[in-house]
Amino acid sequence: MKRGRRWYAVSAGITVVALAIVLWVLLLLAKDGLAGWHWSRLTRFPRELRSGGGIAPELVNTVSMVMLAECFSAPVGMAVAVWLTDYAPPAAWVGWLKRVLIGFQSIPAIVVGLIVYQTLVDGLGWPLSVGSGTIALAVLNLPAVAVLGATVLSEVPGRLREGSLALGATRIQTVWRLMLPAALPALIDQLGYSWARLAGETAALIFTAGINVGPRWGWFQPGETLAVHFWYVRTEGAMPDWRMVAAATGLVLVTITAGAVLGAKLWAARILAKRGVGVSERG
Amino acid sequence: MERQALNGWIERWQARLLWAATLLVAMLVLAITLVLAVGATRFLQSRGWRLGVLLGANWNPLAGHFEIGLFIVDTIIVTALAMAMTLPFGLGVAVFGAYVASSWERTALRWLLTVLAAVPSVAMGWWGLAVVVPGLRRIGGGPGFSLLAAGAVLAVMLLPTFGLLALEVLDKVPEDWHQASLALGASEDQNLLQMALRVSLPGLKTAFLTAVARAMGETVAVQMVIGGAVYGFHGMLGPGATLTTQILTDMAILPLGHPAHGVLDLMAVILLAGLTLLTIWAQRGDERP
Repeated sequence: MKRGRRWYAVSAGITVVALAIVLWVLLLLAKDGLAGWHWSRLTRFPRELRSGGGIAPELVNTVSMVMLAECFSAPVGMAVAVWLTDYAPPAAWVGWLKRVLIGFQSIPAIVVGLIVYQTLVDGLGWPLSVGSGTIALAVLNLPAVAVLGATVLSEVPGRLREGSLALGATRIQTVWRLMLPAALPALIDQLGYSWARLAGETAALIFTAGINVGPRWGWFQPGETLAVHFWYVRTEGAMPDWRMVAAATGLVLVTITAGAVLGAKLWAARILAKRGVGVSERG
Repeated sequence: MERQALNGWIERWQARLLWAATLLVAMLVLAITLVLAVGATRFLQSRGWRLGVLLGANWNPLAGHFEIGLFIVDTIIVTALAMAMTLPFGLGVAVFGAYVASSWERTALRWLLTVLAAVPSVAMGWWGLAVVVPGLRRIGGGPGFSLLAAGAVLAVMLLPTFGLLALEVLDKVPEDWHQASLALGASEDQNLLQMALRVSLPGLKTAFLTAVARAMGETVAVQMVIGGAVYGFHGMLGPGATLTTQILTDMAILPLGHPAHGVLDLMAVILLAGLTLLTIWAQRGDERP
């Protein structure tokens, strides 16, 4: 019998080519980043005009700013997600709010940078700093957490919630003891991805966190991150070893983002495995 | 009874907190829109509401000419190039992942795509500078920094995201439908082209438009390879500048307090208006809000 599976073979071929092209980016970065790699790059300060500069402050800024931004935007965003899924009245304006949030999920990062620059840096006189950058990241992250969180929560089977309420649990008990635990693996997954997205953010930070680092860490100290350093050194770096510095910074950055995504995925998979065919049916 | 009263109190306050969080985010969104709208309006007013600001291509800050038509056109071209290049690859990956791959291949592909989707865009720009720009210079002549280079870099950047989204859409086609379609005598190809892809069309449209939105909003990956030419249109193999890259470039040139700083707000408003149209289009006929 003629099977007619030509398009399946085509799709397999396309997949190989597509993955090869994207992996090319990572492999080239690994090759250039590892050439001349030295661990002292992780502990030294950057140098503007001489070779051998490090990325220690950028590393600290990246991790601290992403963590602070998540500490604010993840709980608030999840609160919005819970309200939208469990508390919102069935009114037309709630639908509009959801649509607006979905729209703002794809707000260009440079626009967030522009807004934070106009309001915080100009309006309130904040310096280009860790603080301004953290706020920019949090603003960028809020709609994403709210929308993705609401999607994840809405995928918890409705009969679980109905059962909980029927047994006499209050709404908030249902949220804390049933909805959030049931959605936990998926939420951890999303958190990892959002961590990676913020760590790799550049456009929103160039004019809020700035392209310099301070002598020590502080809320109002200059807050260049790894991603911004990567961009700055590759496009405008004046140090003799700019090629190496850029590639090494990029390699560290990609390692962090991949680590966040993979770590979250492994953690989520472990929780699911422990549960067996547990509360969440999404397996 | 004590306990019940306490529970009721907690219940009420938690509900209020959740509502407060929602209100906060709604206000934030409103504030962003207002700040941009006010800035853009003021700028347009200072230019006497001339339509040439949007349609013209005369951009010369030193001479006081601020017409952003070229950046709008370049944004559309770069986005179209990127989507045209990423669409076949993304669909291929999705079909393979959803229907062809074995169980472990599917899991591996999903994990790999998720990791690749999280690669920072600045890394794509770096790759573009190292590979795409010199490559185009060798093949097509010219500077290499070009709309085509920007489109190619964006295409590679969007591929994992679009592939993953499309894969999820194709995965949702019920197994029964495949069985039924094959039992009726369709070949695998006919099943794919005439059933699976067709019923997935609304979902694929949403995935596609999500990718379009990311392409339009991307800044650094484009800025690194597009060349930043603001005078005239130089073709696909020539340099240009998009709305996002021009906002980035001009934030330094037109600092706050500069009378023309508002043109940045205007460019942001145009971008957001375009994205809003996309969102509305994406959600039309999609019952899941």
